[in-house]
Formats: sequence, structure tokens, C-alpha cells
Amino acid sequence: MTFELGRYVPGESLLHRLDPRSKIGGLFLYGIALLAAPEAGSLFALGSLSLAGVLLVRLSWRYLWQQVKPVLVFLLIVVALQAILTPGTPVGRIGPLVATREGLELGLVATGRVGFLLVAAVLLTATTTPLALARGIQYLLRPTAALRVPVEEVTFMFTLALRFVPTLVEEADRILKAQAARGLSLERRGLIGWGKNLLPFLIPLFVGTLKRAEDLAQAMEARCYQPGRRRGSLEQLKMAWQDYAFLVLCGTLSCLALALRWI
Amino acid sequence: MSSVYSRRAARGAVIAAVYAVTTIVLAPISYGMVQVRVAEALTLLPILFPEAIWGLFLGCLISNFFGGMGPIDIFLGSLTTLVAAWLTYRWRGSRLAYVPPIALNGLVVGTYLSYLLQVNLLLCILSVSAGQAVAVLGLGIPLLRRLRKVYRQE
Repeated sequence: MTFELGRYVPGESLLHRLDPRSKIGGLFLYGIALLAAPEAGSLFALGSLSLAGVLLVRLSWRYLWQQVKPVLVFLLIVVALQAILTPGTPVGRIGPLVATREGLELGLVATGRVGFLLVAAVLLTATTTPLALARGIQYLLRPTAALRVPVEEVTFMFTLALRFVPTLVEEADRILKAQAARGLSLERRGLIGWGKNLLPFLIPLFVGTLKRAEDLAQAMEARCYQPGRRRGSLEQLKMAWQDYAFLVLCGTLSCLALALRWI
Repeated sequence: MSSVYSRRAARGAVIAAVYAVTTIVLAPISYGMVQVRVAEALTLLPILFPEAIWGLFLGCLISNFFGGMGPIDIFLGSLTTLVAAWLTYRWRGSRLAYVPPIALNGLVVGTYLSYLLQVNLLLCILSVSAGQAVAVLGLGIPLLRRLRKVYRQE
């Protein structure tokens, strides 16, 4: 089984060079703008910026398609349902089902909104390594220490989880092969059959990995891990003027979208 | 034998990793209105391990960063998982502990999906809750029983 967590695509674009904290903040603000966009025109104008980002980063369209494909199939179902269930001017008919113009428009706006949100998230993970992302989140979580959140422990768990993923995939692969040798197939049809077949795979995976946590804890202590201690980093995060400009741009977009909606 | 603190951090990380891998590997059924997020079977783990609260939050955060429906899923979805896991831990002594991952996710995720997709609110809440119920009751309870057995034997 080959599986890599993350969709990082190495590059030298402006988005690649931005600080992970500004990219996470920018994603949040841009997300607000897309959610607040009041109608199709403003939504697609805002969305075109994320597509411009794809060109800037030089992501291949094939790569983008691979990332959005799992959700897109589901979105097409939503468009079809909207087209059929919304009353309005008929534009087509399949047997007893009538698709309406209003339904199609509503479905396309909903799909566009989710699609653009998705592209923005893909841009973030394509231009940021998982470890840089973890460092950005670590920094952004710091203020929550005032709420007694164990920030150092939580961010350490985050980094460890990212590193643990390949080991876990190997474990999953091993269990799948072992269960397949006993005649188990995850392709059995029907919800109950599928669920029944999933259990012999999931339970050993979950139980096995929890047991591995004990080995991991011993390995951590052998390397002098001290819980709750603030940990340093080889590379320090630094905000440059481009980061501030990027945040101002995303903030302005979200303010404009909110103003268009409520004024 | 490792200390309680190291074990807690390691177990939280492992839970986060297993949640993320299961969600992303089963991506086509893990996101959207009609979702059965198999990893949600893990949401009952705070009953046994308090560190699972943070593990589940981080697992959800990672899987929503590398899959999911963008920023709203990343921020709201992960926070909902965190609150649901905390409530499960608080109510660990009773069967009420099974309710938060189903009800809270159904309510919050269903509401924002309804807004995003312009689909009927009740339909969204019910379909997300149904998917959660399948994962939590159908997979989570057998997992919890098995884990209790394993840890009692040790």
C-alpha cells in the first residue's frame, strides 16, 4: 500500500515562500469571504482568485483533479438533487423527474462555493510541508495556553502523529494482507456485509496501534522526552512583509464580501 | 516501563494518526452529507483514555487539512470533534457518553453542510447523524468492548 500524508509539491512560488501562519490565517479569512459571498457573481469572482493561485503555484490540473475528485462526485449528486427538487422553470426531463433552471443555478452556486473552498485548502497543503504546517498550528495554538490547554503536549502529539502515519499505513497493509489470506474482502456488497467485513480489519488495526504507543513512549523517554517542556525548533518561523500583505489582502476580501452581504 | 506522561502523549499521537489515516484512506465515504466516517468509531476512546480527547481533535484536524471540504471543515469540524470528545469523557460512566459524537456532529456538521450545499437543514442533520450513528454504535462499541477486554487481561 502506498500512501503519503499531505500533498506537498516542492516549488519556489510566492505561496511556497509564505510563512505557514500567514497561509493558515489567509485560508481562514478567504474561507469567510467565500462563505459570505451573497450571489453567484461575487462568489465566482472570489473563486477565480484560488484558480489564479493554482496557476501561480504551477500545480498541474491533473493533480488538482485527483485532490478534489472524492468530494466532486458527491457534489454532482447535490447538483442533480437540487435541480430536481427545486420548483421553477423546467429545462429538462428524465422520465417523471423534471430539472429546473432555478434548481440548477442553486446547485451550481453550492458546488462552486465548496469547490473553491476545497481548492484553497489544496493550495495550502500543496505549498506547505506537513511539518511546517504543524509548526504554524503550534504557534497559533499558543494563546490557548491561557485556557489551560496543554499547548506543548498537544503540538508534540501533532508532530508525532504526522511522523507516525507511514508506520500506521504499513500496519494497515499487513493486517489487510493477513485478513485477505483468511478469505476477507472489503468489497463485499451491502452496508451490513461491508460493516461486518470492516470490523476484522479495524479492530486489530486500532488495538495494535494503541499497543504500539507503549513502545513509542519508551523510545521517547530514551531520547529524554520531558512532557510539557517548551521545545525548540531548528528553523525559526519569520513573518516577512509579503506575509502581512497576504493577510491584509485576504482580510480585505472577507470584509468586502461581508459588506456586500449585509449592507 | 515508561512514565504516564510519555504514554499519554504517545497514545494521543497514535490515536490522531489512526484517525487521519482511516479517514483519508476511506475518503469517498468520509466527507460530505452522506458520510460514514469510519474513524469516528474512535470517538468513544475518551471513555478509556482521556488523552484521546486531544488525539481525536488532532486526527480530525489533520484529515480535514488533507481532505475534507476546506476551511469550514478544518476549523468548525475539528472543534466539534474536540467538544464531543470532551463530553464523552465527562459522561464516561453512563451510556450518555455515546450521544455527543452522534448528536453534536449531526447538528454542527449538518448545519454548515446545509448552508454550504443549500440543502434542507433537517435532511442534512439527519443524514450526518445517521452516518455517525453507524460509525459510533456499529463500529465504536465493538471496538470499545475489545479494548476493555485487552486492557483487563494485562
